[in-house]
Amino acid sequence: MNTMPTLLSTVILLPLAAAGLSWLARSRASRQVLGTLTGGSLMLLAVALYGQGSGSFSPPPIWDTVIRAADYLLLLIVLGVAIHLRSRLSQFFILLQLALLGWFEFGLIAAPAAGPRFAADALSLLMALVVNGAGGLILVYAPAYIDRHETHSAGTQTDRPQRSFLFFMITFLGAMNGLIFTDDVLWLFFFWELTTVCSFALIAHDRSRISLQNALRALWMTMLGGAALLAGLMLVYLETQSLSLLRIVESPASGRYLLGVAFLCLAGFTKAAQVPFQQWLIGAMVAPAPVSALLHSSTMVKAGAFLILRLMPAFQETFLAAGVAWVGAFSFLTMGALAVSRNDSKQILAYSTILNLGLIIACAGFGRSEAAAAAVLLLVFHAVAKALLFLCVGAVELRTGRRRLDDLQGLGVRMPLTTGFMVIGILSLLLPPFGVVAGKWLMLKAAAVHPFILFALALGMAFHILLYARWAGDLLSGPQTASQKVRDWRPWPMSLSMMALTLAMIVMTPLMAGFYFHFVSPVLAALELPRAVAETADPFSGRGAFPIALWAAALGAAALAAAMISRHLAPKTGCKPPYACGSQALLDGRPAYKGPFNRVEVHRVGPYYFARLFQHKALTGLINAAAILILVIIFTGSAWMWGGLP
Amino acid sequence: MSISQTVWLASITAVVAPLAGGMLHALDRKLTARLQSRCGPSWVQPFYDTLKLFGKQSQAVNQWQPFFALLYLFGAAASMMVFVLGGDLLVLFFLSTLTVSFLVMGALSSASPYSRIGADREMIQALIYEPMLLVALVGVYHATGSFDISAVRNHPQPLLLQLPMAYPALFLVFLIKMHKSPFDFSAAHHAHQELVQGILTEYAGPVLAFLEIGRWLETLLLLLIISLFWNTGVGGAVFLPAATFAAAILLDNIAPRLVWRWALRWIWISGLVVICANLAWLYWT
Amino acid sequence: MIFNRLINRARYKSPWLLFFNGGGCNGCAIEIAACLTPVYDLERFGVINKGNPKHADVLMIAGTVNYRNRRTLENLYSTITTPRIVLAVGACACTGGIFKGAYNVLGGADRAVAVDVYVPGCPPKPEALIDGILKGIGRFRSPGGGNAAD
Repeated sequence: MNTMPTLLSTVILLPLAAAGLSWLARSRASRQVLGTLTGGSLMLLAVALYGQGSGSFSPPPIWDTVIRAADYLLLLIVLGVAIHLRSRLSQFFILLQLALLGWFEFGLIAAPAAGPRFAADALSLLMALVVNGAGGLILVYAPAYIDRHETHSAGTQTDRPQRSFLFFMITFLGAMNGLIFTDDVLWLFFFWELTTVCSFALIAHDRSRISLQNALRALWMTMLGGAALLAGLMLVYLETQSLSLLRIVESPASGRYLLGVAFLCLAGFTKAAQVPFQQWLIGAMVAPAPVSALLHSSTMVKAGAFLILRLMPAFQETFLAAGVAWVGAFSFLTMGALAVSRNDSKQILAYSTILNLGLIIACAGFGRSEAAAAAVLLLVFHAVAKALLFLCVGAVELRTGRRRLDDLQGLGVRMPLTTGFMVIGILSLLLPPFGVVAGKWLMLKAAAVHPFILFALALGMAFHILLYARWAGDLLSGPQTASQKVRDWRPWPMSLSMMALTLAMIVMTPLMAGFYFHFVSPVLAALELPRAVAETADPFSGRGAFPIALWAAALGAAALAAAMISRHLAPKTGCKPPYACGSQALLDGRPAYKGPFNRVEVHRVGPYYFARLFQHKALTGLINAAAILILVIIFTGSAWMWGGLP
Repeated sequence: MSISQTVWLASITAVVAPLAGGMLHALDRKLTARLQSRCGPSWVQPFYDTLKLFGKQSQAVNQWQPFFALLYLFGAAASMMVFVLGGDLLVLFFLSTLTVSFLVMGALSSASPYSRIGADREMIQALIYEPMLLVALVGVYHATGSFDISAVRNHPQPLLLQLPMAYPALFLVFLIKMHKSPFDFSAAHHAHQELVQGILTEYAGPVLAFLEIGRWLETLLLLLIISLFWNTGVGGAVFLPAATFAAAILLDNIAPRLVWRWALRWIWISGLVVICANLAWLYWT
Repeated sequence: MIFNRLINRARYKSPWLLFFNGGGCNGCAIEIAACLTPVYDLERFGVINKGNPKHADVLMIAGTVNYRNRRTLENLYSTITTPRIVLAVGACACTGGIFKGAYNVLGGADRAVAVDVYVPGCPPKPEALIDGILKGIGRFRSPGGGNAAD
């Protein structure tokens, strides 16, 4: 029996229903149960869907009308909010979207779409695993976090904020599931807007001045993306007369088509917070940690990357492909340069998300089979690593109230388990043979033929080392205090999610060859890209150029051996303080020196932020200007093609 | 390569590479002494030093220091194996990321002001040389059409002719990675450091010995990569690394240390410009 | 057994130096610097001036030990891991020299740490210094090896 329609509608409707239930969840325990159950069932559903394989289905036609009405309703509600909050830019882009949508639906579309509304292919099924896997675990974590967040930081009396928080978190996942499975562009637009609205509500969760300000910035930037999406869809529709995304992608490039695809890519850039739209995602870090985890790992930004991956075949071998690669590579390079001078760990993670998405988008621009494989690997492994890191930072912030890099120094002593998770998350972004690096390796192979983009990528990678090696080393800093046993504070749902993500990262690494064969290869086949080099067949298996299982085994063995040997070499009774010119001492297990009048003073050297070398403000201005220039070039070029040039 | 051949080659490397690397460092000290018209230490001095360190009492600030020092050594050994067994140049690049990360993390974990500042400077050095190394390796790919080391070895003409400007960049990488003057700002092997010994300050005894052996392997590996640039005969493959090594020692003795800010600004820019010019030239011809 | 002898030989061949100046006229310091420079070339015996107690094997003390620097000297001494050798260089470090009996001076280096070799002189000649170092590191070759004072 084909259970595809049931599964597909459940994976979208279940979160929406659960979101409704969350309004009724008035106790802490009920919210935790709701979050855990929803997260768990979404994970199971995604696995079941994957087992079902690709297919398509259409809901009854009445739903078309419902979605159409919901589109306008959603836009009007947000318009109301924008007017209430007096955000001119948001109002402008919402009105623009309303006008475009009206024009598109009533002026342009001649006949209703014939194709199925939902289509599941290899890419969307894999994406569903990522969204619901990471997203589900975040949902398990979220209720425990938000209750403490509200009582500790905000000090609210009612549980209204908690309930609305859970509502939007769960709706977000439903919207995301709709977005990845829908094939009808009007449905796509609805889910796209729904994610925008959810992210707006979640960023504004704390209702402080700064969070409202940042939420509005996110709103207008992503609404600009929504308008670009509509404009792109209209242009493409004029050329192809099709409302099916898969059909659109397969159409031959001609006339207005390329300009339309350029607009669609612009929508992807705004969602994925590529330069010059990076500001909204950086601002979004004012939201509670689970929101950041959700925005940065499985939803929202990944929606942008997903759209551009979908469009990959559409702009192959065109001028636009080079443009997309440039935007991605430029984001990768510049976000690294901006991040080195920051001291807020969440902000650094945000910049790092943008730069990793830049890599994915650059890969889409390279447009060869191994580049697509690299993009998929990065998409998956970055989601796991980033979800883990944000959840860890959230746990630390909840416990200590701090998240500056300086304050994380020596965290290993105070919160050993959380620090362990965090270090593994960081290393998985930085070191071979973890998945992200495997993706980068493939990406470099693909990029080798584009020397100047490669140059940007090479610089960006160096920044990446600087960002993360510094952080990981800082976490473990400090003299060993073996005597005092520290109890790491961890409510079970939070540690469960962090542990599951860590385990997923560690387990998936040695299984990379199998993962590549079963999950990535079908996506490549579905995207129908030219296979450039013979060596792409299966690079991670035993005979490939990068046998990851072997590397993982070697790293595991090395780490084990190092741990065993270093236990012999580690200080047994107390530790020697770090050298301080013969005046070194220890004060409560902290490095100190004996100063004047025999007073023992603690000394500390913070991380170096290069504030003079990488001046954040000046650089941001320059980078935005350059990025806008790149966008202008892309659009001029695409419009020029419209003029009939090949 | 059959499995038995691989195993033989790997075991021979495991013995020969540290010995050769140690001899290189002996040569370094001997040559430096002669340049200063001294007699210099024994020809096996690095081995004496390392053995002595193994015989010393261990002393560490915490358990992470020996842990990361060992991982650094294992990373260097793995890079060596990848090179000898004919692996992938990009894997080699990622392994160099790995070794420098472990070095930095070990130094940062010690909470010592000297090694922390040393670690910051080491990361600045990585910022300078990593892009150059990567672009140079991609230059090799453009010249030979492959990232595979065994394929690069069989390239019919000396790479130096096709990548004349990638070689100076690699020379800079060598200087920086080996902490040779004028780039010895993160850790110097002479006692004229304002940071005591930079990243090495807090390591003592056997743990320092691990780092020492790791450095031997890294030196040897970089010279072997440089030898790829003239790999058409034994003469070139020996001459080029030897000349590089001699030039590095000469420079070490005559050049004062740079300020890292200056190095970052000028070496970074000039090195990258040079190597990119080479790449562009390769790309368009 | 063979390994132990090898290690002892390596210790003898690779003494790394830490120089501590307890205060004084700097005469001894200049002679020690002369030993390290090309003319006397201490490196031919494997000696390197490390300036870092965590790496050093030989602690060279010049100048007197007084109430102020005693703490630092003891700290440095305990930071040098065993086996280690301590040299008192010059009259002040050996006995307190002309400062002996001053209100702030404890006396020679042996008032604070266990000294293995005394190199007298004001200042000692470089030849005497080299002789002292070699005498000191000669102890590494004996089975016990090095300073067993603690």
